[in-house]
Amino acid sequence: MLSRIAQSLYWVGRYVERAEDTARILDVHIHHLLEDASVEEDVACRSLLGVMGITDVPDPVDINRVTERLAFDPSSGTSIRGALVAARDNARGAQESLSSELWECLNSTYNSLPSQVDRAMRVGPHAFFRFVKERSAMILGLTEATLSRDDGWRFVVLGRSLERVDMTTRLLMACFGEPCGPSEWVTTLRSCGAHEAFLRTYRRPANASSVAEFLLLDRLFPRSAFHALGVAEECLAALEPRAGRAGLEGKARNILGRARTQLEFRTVGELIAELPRHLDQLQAACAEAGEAVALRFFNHTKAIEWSLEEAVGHR
Amino acid sequence: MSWRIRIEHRTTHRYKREVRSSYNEARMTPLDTDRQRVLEAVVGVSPPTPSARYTDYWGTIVDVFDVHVPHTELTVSAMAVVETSAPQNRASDVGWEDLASPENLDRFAELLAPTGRAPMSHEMTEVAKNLRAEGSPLEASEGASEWVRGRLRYERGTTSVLTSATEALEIGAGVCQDFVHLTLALLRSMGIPARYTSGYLHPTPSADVGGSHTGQSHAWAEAWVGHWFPIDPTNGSDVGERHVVVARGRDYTDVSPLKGIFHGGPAEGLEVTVDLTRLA
Repeated sequence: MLSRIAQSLYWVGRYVERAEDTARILDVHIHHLLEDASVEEDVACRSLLGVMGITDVPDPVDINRVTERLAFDPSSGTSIRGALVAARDNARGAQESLSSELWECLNSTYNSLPSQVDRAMRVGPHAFFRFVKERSAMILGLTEATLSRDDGWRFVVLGRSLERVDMTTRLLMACFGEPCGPSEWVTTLRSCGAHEAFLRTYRRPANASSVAEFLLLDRLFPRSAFHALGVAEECLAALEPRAGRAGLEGKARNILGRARTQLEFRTVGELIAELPRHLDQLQAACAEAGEAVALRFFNHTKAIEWSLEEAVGHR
Repeated sequence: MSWRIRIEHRTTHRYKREVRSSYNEARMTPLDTDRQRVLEAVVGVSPPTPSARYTDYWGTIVDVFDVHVPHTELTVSAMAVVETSAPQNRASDVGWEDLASPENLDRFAELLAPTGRAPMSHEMTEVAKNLRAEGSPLEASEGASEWVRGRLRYERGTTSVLTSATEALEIGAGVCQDFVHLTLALLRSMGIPARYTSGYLHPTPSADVGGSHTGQSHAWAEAWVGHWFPIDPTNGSDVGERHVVVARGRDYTDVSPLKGIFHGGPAEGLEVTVDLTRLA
């Protein structure tokens, strides 16, 4: 597969996941902010922006500015709109490796963004977040339903899984950074669409350790860091099937495998005791793995310049 | 009398930095013609690479190869053993009106048209008119060769591989390539179909059997006067045992011995050696 195509597919996966996760996080947090009068708007907004890696925010920060920045900004890769535009741009260059249904879905999502943003301005952002979640679900569904399980599909899933680990980690970092009550834990779980799954599994109210356990270690929930790391690893293993007797060839796979085992063989108590450090490590592993994937699979050769061989005349 | 000559033609390109890929065409395999026979011909490339062979539009044998291992030196060695024959009978009964017949104008259209290296000019047309008046196309061809030898001095370094006939004429000097281009321009101005012929010239007419001589890639012209009549304007000698034909075309561009493009480098140097040995 051409490295350009592989790169495009990987970023389709990443951007769609980013748009969806951002929509989920914003949806839950904005409603939480509106419902709970005890929350300081400025602090909550800053922590929300901090989760997304945005620190250069001018005073004062209110929820409108946050939505503007994280949802509607068409030029930023961290906003929902920007991510969906980028996903569609990547898909456009790799149409022959996608199904036309998937491409049409991405394209029509892109085409309806302006009207959806207008609508959100009138009736509030919830409608926009719902639109994004629905379209993401559709894109995910079409990816699973219409793509062959070949390397192209693996790059989409790899991108999606890495982004998922990244987003879940960011979310947890924000929550554990400050004192939280039970309602914040519910918010956190709902941001990942994990509240119901959590309740069915634990059958008791959420607290710090059970939420950390569920979102980091759960073997069955697809948005847990552990599960997403496993999926990413499987993709990498299939992309580089030459397994020797010892060691691994893919650097990205080493990084992810190490991160996964760091989680897998620790008790919740150990994790909670040093959670910020573990989350930092996980975040670093995601970034490193992303770079390793780029280096291994998307290493474009530069545009080739040709020179003429010197000619020998007749004498 | 015929000669048997072994030719060893070695071209080495050197590069300052590694070249990652290069695509090349070598025109270095002598032709089988009515006056020469090729007994053996091998083109070798280092770094070793498989090559393909085809015959181009002008009947030249072309070896095509590309090198994709990083290298700082590319060597193409062509070795051939060729039997050549004495100058052929030059008699010709073709007149100017035969050359101007619609059939011949059509058949030789490509070899009558001016080229970038052998362009037409006002001066050339005047000279051509005078030469035509001297006699038959055969005589006019020889006259053209003599006129060129009168106007150009053989001197290396005065012209480059890219010089055209008019530029060489202005300089008043050149190497065999320029002599040929000027001759071709004249012949074509007269309406005589003419082609550029490249190959090798054994430098020593009295060469011993077995002795190796350093030679050069050489070029001469062929004029169509009912048959292809070879003319060597550079030294005015007959084309015979010492000449080995490799390629033919409209001008130098069609027959350059090694053409290529590469990625990487840049080029640092070029070395060409031609060794000619008379075997019999």
